[in-house]
Amino acid sequence: MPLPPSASNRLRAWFRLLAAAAIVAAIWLGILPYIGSRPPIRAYIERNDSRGIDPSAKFYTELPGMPRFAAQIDDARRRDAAAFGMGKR
Amino acid sequence: MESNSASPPDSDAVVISETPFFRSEDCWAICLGWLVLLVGLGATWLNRPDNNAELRAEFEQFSSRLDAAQRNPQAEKQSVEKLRKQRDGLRAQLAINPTKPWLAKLGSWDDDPSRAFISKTGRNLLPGLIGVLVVGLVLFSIGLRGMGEPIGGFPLAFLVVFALAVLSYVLAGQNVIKHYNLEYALWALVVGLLISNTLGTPAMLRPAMRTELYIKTGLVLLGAEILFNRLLSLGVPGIFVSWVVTPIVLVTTYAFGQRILRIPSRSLNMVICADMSVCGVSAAIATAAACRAKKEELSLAIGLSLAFTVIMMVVMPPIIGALGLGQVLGGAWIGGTIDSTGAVAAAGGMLGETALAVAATVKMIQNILIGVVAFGVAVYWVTCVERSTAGQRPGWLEVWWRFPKFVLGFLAASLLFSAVASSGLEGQAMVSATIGGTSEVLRGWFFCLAFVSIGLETDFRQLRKYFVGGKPLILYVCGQALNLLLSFIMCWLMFEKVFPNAAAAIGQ
Repeated sequence: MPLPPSASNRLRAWFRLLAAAAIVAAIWLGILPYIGSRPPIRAYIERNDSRGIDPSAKFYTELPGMPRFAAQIDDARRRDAAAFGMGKR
Repeated sequence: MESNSASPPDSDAVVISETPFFRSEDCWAICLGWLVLLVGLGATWLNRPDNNAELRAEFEQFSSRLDAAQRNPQAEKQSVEKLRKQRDGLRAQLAINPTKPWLAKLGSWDDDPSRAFISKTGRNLLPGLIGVLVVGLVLFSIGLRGMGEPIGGFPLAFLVVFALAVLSYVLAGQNVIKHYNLEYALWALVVGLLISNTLGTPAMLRPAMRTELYIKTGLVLLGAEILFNRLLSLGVPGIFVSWVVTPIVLVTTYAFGQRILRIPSRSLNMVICADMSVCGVSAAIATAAACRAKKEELSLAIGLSLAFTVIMMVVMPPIIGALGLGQVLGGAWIGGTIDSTGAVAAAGGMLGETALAVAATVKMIQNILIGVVAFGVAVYWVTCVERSTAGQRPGWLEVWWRFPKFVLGFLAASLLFSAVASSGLEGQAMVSATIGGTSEVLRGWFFCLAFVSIGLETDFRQLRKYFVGGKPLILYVCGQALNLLLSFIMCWLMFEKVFPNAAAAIGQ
């Protein structure tokens, strides 16, 4: 674990942290909103939202649209189980 | 997982802890995880509606109407979709989780971060956030107390670490970041690293830097989401694409990393292989805990996975379109290869509705593999990789002592929730409500707390040594190339040659 800096370096350490925070703020409050307002990116985001897609989901349970996607496949399998190798034709 | 300072990367020797089981982190991770799951499930069961029988009858009626509409080639797509929505609404009414309003994840935003605290439906998320803070504080205080550790400094330290986790969630909620799959795990690490590598980690935070406890408790909660009854969702083709190719890629890439690349750390090799072949960050977390990988190794594997996931989710859809593979084959290929579940859905969605459903379902089946992989890796590690200090293979009793027992709590949660979900319509609804309202929300926060803690504990310079020779990168690229090739062959065989009618049925 990194150790806290000595007293003489403390000011420099705070400066580094504040500089990093300023860069993060500039990216998140300036650059990213600008990129997000560009028509192709806006359209991509809105298309995902309307379909229940959360691209940051780590697991299927985090996908808002998953029940609908699974239901679509379940319905197809129920209609024709043999097509999926799960019964006789 | 182990701290980096404990041993060099190539040391496999293990010293068995003499802590009694009831004082161990594994025991308390299981107790805390199960407490959350049982409270969530119990509250949902007690809150079941009085008109249960009517709702079920109505659900069956809608299912029959939906089947009839789908068999009718002249039925409009919109009316089928409307029927499906009404039927799903009925299923949701069968089980309502009363804890849901009191636990919340943060929302997304474009240019105003305060929007992260308001849901899409306009609900204020602050009560839910306070609920998570209180639940976390109480649970982990109980856990630390049970482990016989002092908890005096814990509440204040937890408050600060939780605030950093909130900041990470806010950063991850920016819409551009979110829609390119740069998830909170990365930002939690960055936030922790920024503090630890500038100011240094304040000593007052140490009582709440409990990476292993957060991760193991989160994994026990994740067990409830591994539902084996979903395994046959896509029938035989789904099993072949997800459960045959994935283990082959995992084992082959691991062997390649050991024998050809000679990666110095077996655990780093295993974590990269699991996150590349199974399902990204969640598989990396589960495997890292099962093989006691170092925190820096988990960070590195996640960084690699996220970088390649962004590239693949942007590049694969146009390639599939140019090759004219079709939505079912293309969707299955995406589902079998892109690491992260969310990115799979985003890439599948670029191809179309059918590809989206197939990709998400293939990935869901692959997600379920996490339980088996974590168990298999834990067994392999304690029996084959770890040696006693004398360099001998351990006996069965020793294997049992070494086994990461939280994995058993994780598997038991999976089996219980799979059994409840298999019991019928009501069981399915109860499991969905418990997961959606309780376990998934808390699990996300616990993982986020773990990644903030990892960042706070990591010296950035120590990450450099893992990049020497670029071996992790070569391992990932070679493994992913094999994954792409084998998955494509299997998807083509399954959906074009062996079960061509499955593709037709899905596309109907």
